[in-house]
Amino acid sequence: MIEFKNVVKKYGRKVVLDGVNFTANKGEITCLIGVNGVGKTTIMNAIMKLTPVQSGEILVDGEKVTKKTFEKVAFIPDAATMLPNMKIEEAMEFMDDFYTSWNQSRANELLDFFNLKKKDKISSLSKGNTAKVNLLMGLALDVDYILMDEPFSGIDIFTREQIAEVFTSHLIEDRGVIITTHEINDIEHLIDKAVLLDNGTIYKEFNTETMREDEGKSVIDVMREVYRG
Amino acid sequence: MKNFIKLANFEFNRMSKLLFALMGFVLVVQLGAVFYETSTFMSKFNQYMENEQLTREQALMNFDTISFGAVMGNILFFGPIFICVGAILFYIFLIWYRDWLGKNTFVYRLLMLPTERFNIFLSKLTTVLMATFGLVAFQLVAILIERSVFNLLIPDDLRQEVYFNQLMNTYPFTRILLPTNFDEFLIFYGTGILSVVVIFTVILLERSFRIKGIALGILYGLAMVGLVLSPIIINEEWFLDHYFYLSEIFWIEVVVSLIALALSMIISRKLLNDKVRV
Repeated sequence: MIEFKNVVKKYGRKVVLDGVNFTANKGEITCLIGVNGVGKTTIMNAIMKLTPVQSGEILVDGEKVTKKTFEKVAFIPDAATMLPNMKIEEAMEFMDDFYTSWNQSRANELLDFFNLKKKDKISSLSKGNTAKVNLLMGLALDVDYILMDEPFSGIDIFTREQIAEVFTSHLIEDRGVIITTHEINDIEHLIDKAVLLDNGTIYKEFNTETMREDEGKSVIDVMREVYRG
Repeated sequence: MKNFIKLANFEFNRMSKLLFALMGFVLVVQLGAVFYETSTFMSKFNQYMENEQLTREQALMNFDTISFGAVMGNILFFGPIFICVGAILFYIFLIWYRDWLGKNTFVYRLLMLPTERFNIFLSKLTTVLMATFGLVAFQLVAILIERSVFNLLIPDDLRQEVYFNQLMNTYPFTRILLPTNFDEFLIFYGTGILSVVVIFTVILLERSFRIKGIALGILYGLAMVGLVLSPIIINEEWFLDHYFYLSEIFWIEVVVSLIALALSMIISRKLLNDKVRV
């Protein structure tokens, strides 16, 4: 389980996360929802120690984040994280060199799944294919949790469908996923838990299935209620 | 340790093209200096013989010989050395900032590697030092090559033989390339290594606190310069009035520099672990 306990993050005087509390479980897809600038990416960065927080605690399976956590949690940011002059196969070698959790056979499977060519240079790829390479680098790690930051942003419809397909495949299996997205339509039916953020706080946290069954509302219905009115 | 070696190897490979390009540039331009100096000298000598209507033996009596030192005084010789120094200085910044800037933000990957983040610092430091020593070593080899070419182009009787050590003592910049004793090596290269480590710390302060970090970095840099110079300053007339001998000051400097080095590394480690931002 990934736990956020009263996490406060400020950039100068601006409070980005104002006492954020939430949990994301293994085996579930948790979606962080909110308009731009509410702190979704900051949450992801904070989990991976890519930005410091002022107070509060972030725990992964009850432990603070250390170098060992990076064998347990993979982060897929919305920017390319491999060097542009690397070929896909070189990027895979790099990952294999440093991560014991790197699973080459899964990486090969993902190459086929996404129709990527390992001899291609990362700098020569389209935005959609760069996003696929990013996903490949994260999903081919045998980790318990995967964090995805806006995996659908600026990507064509077919690539979006292909990425959405990943969620129902064995590539996710029983891992815990935290995803941020604007394009909730693409994955609404896939997410188990929604966390609505506004002004650096958690506005609402709910189980999508229960919400559908008990109140007959979809995630978008709840979002309308929260953000519009 | 294994991850440090892997990272250092990776970082070095990233700069190897630039390094080899610099080496090629140094050799080609410095050979240009050899050809320029030798052809100018030979044409002057021939001109002198012709104008004065002298035989070669007669001309040799009144004509100054040339040594390789003349080549070393040519801008085509020392220019590339300064360009290399500039390139290394630039690379000290580039080696960090290129991972943050641009479309591909490699810093995400580096900071998420399941290894001590300080290894990133050490691998970048090792790369800068390897590049520096690599260029120095190459320059020494290049001088030997250039001197052989020089010897081929200037006849024995017009050439003044100078020992390699003498040559390296001719100019201050060549003396830095090849220090004459261990004390000099410590002063030149110790100061160099310390400067790189302090600049890395300043960069990490900026990368952690951004605008505030620039101010913090400048203050930190000045504090380190002050710390390192303090033994020399307090030994002046106005304070200790040369209480310490020069050799004692030297060893006090070594200790103070080691303190500055350790402090910078501890701060950098802390910044990388807890403060740095993508």
